[in-house]
Amino acid sequence: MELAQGLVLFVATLTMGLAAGFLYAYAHDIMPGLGRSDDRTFVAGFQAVDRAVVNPWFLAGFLGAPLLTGVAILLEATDDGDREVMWWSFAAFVLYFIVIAITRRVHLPLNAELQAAGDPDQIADLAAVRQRFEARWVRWHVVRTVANVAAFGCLLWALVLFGRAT
Amino acid sequence: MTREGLQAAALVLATMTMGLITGAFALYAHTVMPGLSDTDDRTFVTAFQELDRSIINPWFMAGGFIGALVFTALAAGLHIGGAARTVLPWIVAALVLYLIAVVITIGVEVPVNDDLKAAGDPDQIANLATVRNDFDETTWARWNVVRTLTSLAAFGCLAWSLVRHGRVAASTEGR
Repeated sequence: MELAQGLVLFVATLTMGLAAGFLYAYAHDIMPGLGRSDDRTFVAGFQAVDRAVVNPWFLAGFLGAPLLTGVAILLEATDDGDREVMWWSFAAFVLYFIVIAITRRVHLPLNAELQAAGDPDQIADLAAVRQRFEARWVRWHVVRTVANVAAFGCLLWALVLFGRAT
Repeated sequence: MTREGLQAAALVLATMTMGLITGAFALYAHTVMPGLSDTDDRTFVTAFQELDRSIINPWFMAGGFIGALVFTALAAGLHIGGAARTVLPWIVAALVLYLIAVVITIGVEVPVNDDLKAAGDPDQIANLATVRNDFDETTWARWNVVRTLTSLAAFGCLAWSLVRHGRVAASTEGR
């Protein structure tokens, strides 16, 4: 049981860290970088990167993090679980739920809209397409990045507490 | 702060920054490079130049690339001697694995990144395809996968050392 608890919490933390690092890099690198580009590069670049993001590695992190964190909570809720570890894992789960909610409400619709604008060479008003997308995307991205890094931090502390309890 | 508190703080920060930098490398491996590889030469060169310019920022440096190195080294130093020394091999392993990623970055990736930026404004470049070809995105991507894997292994070693650290702390407190 202890092995299963430790293993699940360990892999949950790795996937959560990768998810956090992913969003963090968009915040400090991808969006500022594309942000400084001309409208055509911005739209073409974001479309291309967004098409590539639906890949098994990304999905393993994005979906694996909440799934494994959920299992970690359940395993710690049993009789030989540790309540402190359980609550820190639960905090991580709630914070990551915020990330998913923001992604579904804000980012996925905006991404879909940008893709629907079609081939950048055929778009009449690139600046307008970009304007409807960029500011709102970036603003909410900062919020979900903070929530995701905080969720990651909660799991790191849960690992220390797990070590203390076992 | 007690020595145990300092050790825990350094180790948490090391693991956090290592996770963030690994996520950044992985993002380039599974999304950015495959995505940009499908774009025309002008988009590729412009986008990569701008991404490379903007990555030199304090969040990336302190919260990732340099931070992971400094905090891991600090965590290793704080775990020398005493009961905590059983954690040390895992932190040292992480440090060595991450050093490989740093060497690849400075030795392989940064020089070609600099060459691409030195090609200048894409609108003034006569032959974009040649510039893109010289950059050699296939080789860049291959080495990026290597540094992603060594960083991921370092991240795993640090996450495990958090558990070990907790165990040592509990045993020295007589719990």
